Amino acid sequence: MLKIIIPTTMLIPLVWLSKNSMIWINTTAYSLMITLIGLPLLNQFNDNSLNMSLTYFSDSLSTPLLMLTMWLLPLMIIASQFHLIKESYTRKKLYITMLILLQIFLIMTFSATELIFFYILFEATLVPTLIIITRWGGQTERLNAGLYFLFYTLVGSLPLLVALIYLQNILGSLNILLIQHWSSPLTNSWSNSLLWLACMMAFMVKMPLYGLHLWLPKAHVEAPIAGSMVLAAVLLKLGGYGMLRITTLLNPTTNFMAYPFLMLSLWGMIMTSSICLRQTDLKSLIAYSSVSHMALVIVAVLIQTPWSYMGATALMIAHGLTSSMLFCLANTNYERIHSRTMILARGLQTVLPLMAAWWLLASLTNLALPPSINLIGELFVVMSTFSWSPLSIGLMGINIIITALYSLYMLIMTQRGKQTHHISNLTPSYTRENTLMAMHILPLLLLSINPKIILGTLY
Amino acid sequence: MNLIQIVRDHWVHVLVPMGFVVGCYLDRKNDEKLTAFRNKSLLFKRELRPHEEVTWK
Amino acid sequence: MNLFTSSTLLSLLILTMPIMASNFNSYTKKSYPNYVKTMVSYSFLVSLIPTMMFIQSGQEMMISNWHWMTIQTLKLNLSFKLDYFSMIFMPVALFVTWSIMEFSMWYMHSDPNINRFFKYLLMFLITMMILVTANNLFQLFIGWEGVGIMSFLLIGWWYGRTDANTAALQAILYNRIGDVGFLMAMAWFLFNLNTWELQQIFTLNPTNTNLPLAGLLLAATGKSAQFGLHPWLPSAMEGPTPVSALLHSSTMVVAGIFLLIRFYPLTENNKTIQTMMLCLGAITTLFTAICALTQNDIKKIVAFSTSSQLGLMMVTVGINQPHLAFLHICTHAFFKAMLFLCSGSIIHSLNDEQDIRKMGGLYKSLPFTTTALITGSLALTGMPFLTGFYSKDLIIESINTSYTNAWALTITLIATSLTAVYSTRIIYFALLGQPRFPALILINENNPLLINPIKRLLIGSIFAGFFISNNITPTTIPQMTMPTYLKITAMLVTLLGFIVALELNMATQNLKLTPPSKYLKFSNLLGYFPTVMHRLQPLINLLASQKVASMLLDLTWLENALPKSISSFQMKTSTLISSQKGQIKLYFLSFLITLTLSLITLNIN
Repeated sequence: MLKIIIPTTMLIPLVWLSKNSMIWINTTAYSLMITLIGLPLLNQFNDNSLNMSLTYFSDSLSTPLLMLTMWLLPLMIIASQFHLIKESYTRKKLYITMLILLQIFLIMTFSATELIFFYILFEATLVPTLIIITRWGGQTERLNAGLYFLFYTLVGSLPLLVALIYLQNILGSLNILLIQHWSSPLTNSWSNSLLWLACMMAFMVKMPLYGLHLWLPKAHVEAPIAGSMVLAAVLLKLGGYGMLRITTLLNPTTNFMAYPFLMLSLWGMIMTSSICLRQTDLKSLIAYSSVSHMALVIVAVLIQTPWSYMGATALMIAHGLTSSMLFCLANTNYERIHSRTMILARGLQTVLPLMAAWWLLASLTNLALPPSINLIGELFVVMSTFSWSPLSIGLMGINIIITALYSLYMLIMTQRGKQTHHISNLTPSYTRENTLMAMHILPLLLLSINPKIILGTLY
Repeated sequence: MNLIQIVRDHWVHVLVPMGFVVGCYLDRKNDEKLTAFRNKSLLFKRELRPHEEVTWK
Repeated sequence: MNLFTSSTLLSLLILTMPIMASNFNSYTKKSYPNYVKTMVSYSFLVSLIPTMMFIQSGQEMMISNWHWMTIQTLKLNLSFKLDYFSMIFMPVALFVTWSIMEFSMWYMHSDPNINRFFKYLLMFLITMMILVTANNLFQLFIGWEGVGIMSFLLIGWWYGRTDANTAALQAILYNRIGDVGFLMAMAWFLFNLNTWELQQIFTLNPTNTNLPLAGLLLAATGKSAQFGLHPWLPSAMEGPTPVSALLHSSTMVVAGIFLLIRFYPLTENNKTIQTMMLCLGAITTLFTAICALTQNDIKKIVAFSTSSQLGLMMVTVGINQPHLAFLHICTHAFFKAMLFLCSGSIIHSLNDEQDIRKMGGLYKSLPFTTTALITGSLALTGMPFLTGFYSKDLIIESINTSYTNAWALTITLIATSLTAVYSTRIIYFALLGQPRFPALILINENNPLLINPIKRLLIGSIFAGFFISNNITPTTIPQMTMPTYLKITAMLVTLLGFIVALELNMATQNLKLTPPSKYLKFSNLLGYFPTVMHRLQPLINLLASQKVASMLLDLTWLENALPKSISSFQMKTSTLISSQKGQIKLYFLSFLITLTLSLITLNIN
């Protein structure tokens, strides 16, 4: 694993020592090469995991997320070029450094073997993200968004630290590979319910669970493009990853503790997607759609069946790529119209036909058109919730309908309709932007040919 | 002269590959260490097969 | 017997060629639309081989070639089912598409994006073929969703028009409601039978199938525009006429019925579902026929007649005659596609005029279109020895001799009679009488791209029923004997419809103008269904999402419960503590609180 982490670290001196004109190209090229180094990890020939060392390991749950993280760094760098065009070179370099720093932390988080190590890095990712949001965000509300982001996640995760220390005391080790064999069933007591809450709440805030999601629309809307991308694509998945990892410790408490959270997710899924129907702000719409998709992941993890685990993993990867692409598309509009309001940017299909094709593809994957991996994820979740309780199909069905509606509403609002007069002097889409979209959609299409590699440990 | 100029312009490209090499080296050292540890344990140690030099490959 | 599978796959493969070719620009020699049309015609010819072999030997097959993945105990393959239904339907669909594509070369010739239009049509055709030939539910779902999305794109083809976009979104909404039923059926089959393969489902023959079949019925209701989920079909007429001809008459909308026919081994043992299908179909066929009576838009009339025919098919599945319903799907495709092409020809000739009140006397200026339109209408009403007769007459006979729900059967008969009424209305207003269109329009129908497709479909509308019903092996035993009055009922009600309609139309010339009656309003406003459902429902939902979800919960309760309340609490306490007011006594007294608390806790322990 060091052979990935050390080159990623070396990107930082690369940024600072490169010539000013070369910073974007150099970082993009080398971060793409680092993605290549990571690719062999996808070959999980062993049944359980690849152990790199005592500190790092990867298994078929963490590898897809690792790949997603590594794939996203060059995309973020490509996407932010226009955003920073007026900044000085030092600031540009600082910005890229923050992205790289975030990348290093994320790689280490996903591959950590020790839960405390995982926890520390989980918290460490907050720092660069906070700096990205509050320093480079668009408006003054970014400070408020940063506050919400920091405090929600911090308050949620502090009990986890206490819980981990307690677990360390009773189990003697927090090695992820060991504890799944060592952990004994929890007894039915109040303190164990609290332990469950402490362990899960950190990740549920991160996911986010409905009710604790207020930080997410704010942070997504205010963050610069790279921030929104990485938030939607990877940082939310930290929550799902953590939940999938830690539920092995918490049996059988999950069986009854899950109910309120299942209800909350199922309810919140519908609430957030109906909020999407009334959004005028493009980025906010995408952010709320993330909440509703992540609610599906929470449901899937809490049900704890092999199918739902596979669905959760697939959905996380699929949603990572899709929502990141949607944010990029929203950003290309923003860079031209200078507003996130949807009604100001309608009828764009006439002006930017190729962009319209990307919009179409992104919307279709967002509404889970078969045979995309979004569908595989959603289908598995729906199947497993049906076997959990046939009545849940009603709620899931409503959510499926609303998801289709708001995805196409977004498409129609931005692309279709008559062209407005004030958008007559738009710059055509750059090759850079088209490359960016292609690099989002290609993995989605290719993965639907062979979805096995993103189905997680239980495949 | 020209060569020096090229080196000055492009020496940064060494950084990441160097990181990769160093990373590989450290990974390999770590493998050796872990294998050495395994070879000392009663449960996992075994005799080397003929024409086999090390067990950590 | 390798020719059977390989030629089927070949005809599917040929369809993908133009999609591939568009990536490499290898079609530059000729125009892309022409290339696509030719490829579809080749595909049609190739698909005749397996169909002939099927007719000759009656063999059915299943190809399963690419292993996609195995999830736990469920194996997912790319597999094709080459049975009675797919083998007969494939050439029919390809033939109709071929004709419609040729027609669109004429109809859409001035569109700047005609290449993309053809690519969309072709992609629609491919997804339809996937739907028809799929052997497992997942693959079926791919085709199912694919045709839905392609219909969204094609209805919204003129994307500058708000109406087109609304209609497209409507289509997706109603289809998605149906999809929920499909997903539920998939989940049920997975949960109870652990398989999505059709033949495994049928072999296991589960009992207590009310839930999945109700799901499939819901899916079919959405896709085939049955009552309740029907308003999208007339709205879909916002799309270009070739799209209406291909998607919303002959192929996509029958997918729902096709799905139910596919599942006939399960439905034929389930009386509850049969009754539901029967009643739903009967209501649909009557309601949409009534709606068709007073429409003035020529495409809307044909669309409602499609909806009415779909209801009739549903009734047929409901009286447990799936093969007969399938026969009606096949014959209906010919004349309904032709009716749309004829109305397209009229609309285009009259400079995009769709209102039948502004037509008239077209039998002189458009003789060929007139011929085709009248033949198509007669075939639709089941005129003996035209295509429609072979399926519709059998259906009415089975209805008459069936002993189920007499109420549903009666209203189906009424709807059959109404078919003749609205057909007469089109003919009377659009073709006969005096011209009512602007005098300076140049009308010319002598274009091979217009004549040829209609001619082909005309031949199909006359002979296809005979060919198909003559060649396929009978699958259900038709009613052999019946009293004469039952035998001629179908003809009688149709004739009655014709005569009444003709008399009424004649009478309109002499009647004085009266204010519209409430019956007319009911029919003309589509039974107030869109007015109520499309205004009230979205209003409630969107208001709820704005008021409840967004304003009340997200921006008020959740915001106040955690962040705002914490911050205001902090603010209050910090001002309370940090601002000194010199009340030394009170401050010292506050130490007492700590003291008492600790004493109490110590005592409890």
